[in-house]
Amino acid sequence: MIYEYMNGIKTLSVIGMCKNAGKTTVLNVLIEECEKHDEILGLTSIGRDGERSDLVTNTKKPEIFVGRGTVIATAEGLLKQGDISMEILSSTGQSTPMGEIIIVRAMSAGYVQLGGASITEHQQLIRDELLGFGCDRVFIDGAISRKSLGTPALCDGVILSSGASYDPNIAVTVGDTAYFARLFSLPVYSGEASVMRYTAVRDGELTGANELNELIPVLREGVKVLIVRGAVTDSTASALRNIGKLLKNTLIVAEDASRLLLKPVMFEKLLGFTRGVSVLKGTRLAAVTVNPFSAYGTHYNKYEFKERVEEALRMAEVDVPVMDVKYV
Amino acid sequence: MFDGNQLNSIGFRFVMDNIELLTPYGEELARHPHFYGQDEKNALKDEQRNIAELMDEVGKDPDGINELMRLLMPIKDIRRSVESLNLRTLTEVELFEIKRFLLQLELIAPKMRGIGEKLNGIDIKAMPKALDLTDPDGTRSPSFYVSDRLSEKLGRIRRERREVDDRMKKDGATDELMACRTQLAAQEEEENARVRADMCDSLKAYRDDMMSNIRSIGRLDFALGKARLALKYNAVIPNVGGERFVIEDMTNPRFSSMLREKGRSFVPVSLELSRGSVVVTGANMGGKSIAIKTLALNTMLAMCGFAVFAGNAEIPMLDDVFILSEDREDAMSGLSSFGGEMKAFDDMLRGTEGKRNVLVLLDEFARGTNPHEGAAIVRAAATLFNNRGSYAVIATHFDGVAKLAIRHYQVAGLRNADVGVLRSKIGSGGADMLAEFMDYGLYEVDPSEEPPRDAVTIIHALGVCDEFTELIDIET
Repeated sequence: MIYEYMNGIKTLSVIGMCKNAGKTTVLNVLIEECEKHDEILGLTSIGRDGERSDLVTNTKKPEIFVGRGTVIATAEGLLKQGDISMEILSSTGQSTPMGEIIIVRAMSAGYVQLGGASITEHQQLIRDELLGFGCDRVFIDGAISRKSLGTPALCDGVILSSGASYDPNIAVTVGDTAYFARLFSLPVYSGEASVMRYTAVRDGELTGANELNELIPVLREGVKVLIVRGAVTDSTASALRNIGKLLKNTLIVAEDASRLLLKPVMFEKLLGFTRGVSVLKGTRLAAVTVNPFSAYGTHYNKYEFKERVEEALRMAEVDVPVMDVKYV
Repeated sequence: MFDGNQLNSIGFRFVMDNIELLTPYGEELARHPHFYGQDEKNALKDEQRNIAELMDEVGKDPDGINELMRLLMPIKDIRRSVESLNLRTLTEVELFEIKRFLLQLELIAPKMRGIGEKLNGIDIKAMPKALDLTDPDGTRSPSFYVSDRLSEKLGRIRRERREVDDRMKKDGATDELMACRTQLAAQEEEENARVRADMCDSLKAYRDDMMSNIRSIGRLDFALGKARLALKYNAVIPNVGGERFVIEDMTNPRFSSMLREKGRSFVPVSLELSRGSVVVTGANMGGKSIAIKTLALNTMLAMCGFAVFAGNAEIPMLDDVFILSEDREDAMSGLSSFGGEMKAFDDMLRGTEGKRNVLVLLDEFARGTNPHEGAAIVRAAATLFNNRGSYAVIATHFDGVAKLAIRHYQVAGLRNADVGVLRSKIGSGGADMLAEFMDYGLYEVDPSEEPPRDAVTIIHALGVCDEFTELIDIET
């Protein structure tokens, strides 16, 4: 079922909001579905994943099971933990704590452990190398972080995995899930930007500056768009809020969703005193998956969780399917 | 020999950072360049001939050299795997690396035809038999797979495994099929390891040849790096091993690059040394230290088999080179700078006792003490090296040292400058203005010439505050 949402997505990142969000289950289903459609898959991860048992919470985790022909980029030290028979295709020269990243082709079906590069440029090189080995599609096991949303620069589609392990309070999990989903669904602004930290756009004319203060004279005259390169943090938002009066009719544009490192409440404030928030590079949010099972014992009711996430997404005007990990 | 700090200060590090290397083996040689000692004249000459050949080849066949460089670039460090062949069964990734190396040899070896015969100690040979071992199917593909061809049993297990995979795909992963799959995977791993053990056993016979190829690749890479560096900077291969010690029109890329940033250029220096003490005197800020360091750099480079940054160079074989300058680090020893300097001097004297073929460079030796005793100390040092008959260059301000010199060089400094014009521009441009008037050239003068007295003129030229300079004028 999830396969139908993959249309037009060449590189997909599955991002878990926390450990045990059900990311690996989602990946396994995707792998199986794509293999049924005779696709050659490439797999890699951001950081280490696919472990038999979670090192932090010690819960049993499903591993990633691949079919014959799948191309995998993973750390050398993790290769022997899998059980595929493999052809070694390339040693990338990129090292991780678990050894150099090696690209192999599965000559049988079997389990693999994924561990990948942690630097975006390296991740891009590996993605390109996987595509170069004839992969129809590349799946990236995404980073787990409350702060960052992985790297839209790397992929053209995202699946967001949420779960009860995120927070014992279902309202918090639902709220943050909707918030992250909303960031991925921000409209794309397609205009020029300078290389500076800030670019003000007024009547099609660009003014760049690395300090916000330098732009105040331009902002005073009223600008339609203010592009912010790099991270947009709570303090960035506070700085903008201090000159909020000047920004009433201004659209704030971040580079991509991963650069918005704002608390939900700060994001709301930012929306309140500006014309809105957009991104230079958009990422398609293909689906949200929910896992009512918590590794810490505070499970949610599975119907309630899914319905509340759906409701929250509707309220946030994010139109994507929500699926229980067990039934993706 | 020099410590890291000194290598940096004389500009040796700068040169090493500018040499372009393509393989980990070449990089390793450049990290600790070999100093060719007294008894390694032939080896040094061989290395020089290699560089000359490669410089020639870069000129004659730039495309061929570019192609060779392109082929060297993918070379990785496989020494640990090759050395482990005697100890254990290599992993698939390690065998992959060895196969890639052997494949690369197939490409490099033909490119070495012609040039390879002219190079000493560099012999890169293809190893088709070893490659066949890692590539039993003979596909020469750049990947590695333990082929079914090597074991009937392996082929059978894999066929069975494939059947189970296919059934799982069709019927789903039943417990029974999963158990069967796990068992077959374990069997395959076991047989795979046995086949690899056999492969490693056969590869052992080629271990020495692989290591010899690796050494050749390292030497080629390093020599090619040296050759390209020499061409880039117009460096010349010194004539080594004779009795004369003369370097003409020396430069130092580190200082050249620093001066270029200020819009100035390096004034080449020439020095001829004789056994005994050569003394360099001259104005403050006139470039004595720079001259000493430039001599240190080029002598070190020559002894490490590099071309030198000079117009012409003749350098005898040396056992060692020492420099004592203010760049020495005494912080750890707890001695004062004077104490540290004397301790280092003592270490050097004891270490080189009885050795005539050493070069000792003293930059403002004993600068930390009073001029009366300082001059006596430096005179004693000059006499000591005269007695020992080793090569020494002593840069000093002190009086009465030059007259002991075998040769005396002086920085012209402000000697020929129009001091009137200089004084009229006082304070207008500080050090940069001073540079316009300063003659950085180094000239051989009679040992009876005393060091010039232009410290006061320089203080004026630097625009030091009037309250002070007026008092100096009264004092002098």
